[in-house]
Amino acid sequence: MDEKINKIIKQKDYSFSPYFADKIIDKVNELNNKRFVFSDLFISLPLLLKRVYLLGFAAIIILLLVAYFLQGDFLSTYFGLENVSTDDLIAYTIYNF
Amino acid sequence: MIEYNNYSDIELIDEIIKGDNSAFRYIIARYEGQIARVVKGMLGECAEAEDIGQETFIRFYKSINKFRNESQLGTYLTRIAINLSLNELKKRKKKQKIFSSDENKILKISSKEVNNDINEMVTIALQSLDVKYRSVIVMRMLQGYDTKETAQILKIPVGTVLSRLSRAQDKLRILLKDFL
Repeated sequence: MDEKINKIIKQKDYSFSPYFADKIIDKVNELNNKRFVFSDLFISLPLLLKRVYLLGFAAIIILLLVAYFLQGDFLSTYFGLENVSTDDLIAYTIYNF
Repeated sequence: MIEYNNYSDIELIDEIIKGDNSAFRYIIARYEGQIARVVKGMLGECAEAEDIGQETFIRFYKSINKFRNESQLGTYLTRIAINLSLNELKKRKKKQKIFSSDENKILKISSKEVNNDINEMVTIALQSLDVKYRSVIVMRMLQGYDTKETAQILKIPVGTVLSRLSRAQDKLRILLKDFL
């Protein structure tokens, strides 16, 4: 190894700007915040869906009970059927197509 | 804030994994100079060098769980820094913004414009070297790695390191003759 060249090359000052570490820490914090948002979403999404599903199911039960108490039957409400005459049903089918 | 001055690298890494970013600041402080030598030795004094330096530490942070302590942290970071620097040089080459490697032109610049400033002269001399020679000089002379370590980091045979080092030194001897 050429000592003189080595000495000259090493004489040069190699350094980054004064706030080098701060800039990296800022970027790392930004990265962690993004990670937090994503992980938070993935954790809360099933919980949110569970609540929606439970509320929806409860609403259906209530509607069926109301229909049952008002009409004495909830199946026709559930299937969307009414007591209609055959003529009305045919007319409804023809005129709606 | 906890003082981590007496912590080893691996202890600091454990703290970072636990979520203490202040420990990461100590890692940066410990290896900033080493990474600056690699990146600025390879790219010269430019804005990209600072970005590559930051990217080196961020890449390490992202993959901190993968660090197995099989190699020293300094060597691990150096490997990231040299790879990022080489990628940057490839990008530059593609954009045709790479510095001219005409030695005569550089020597002309040195005598007229550099005013015997050793810092500038070394930068110009290093930048004038071909990338393959420059990377060997940076590893051997600036970082102080031995031939075997340089070969491992640059993924080239030991014989190639020796021949490139010899040729690079010859070129530097010409470029820095005013300072020898």
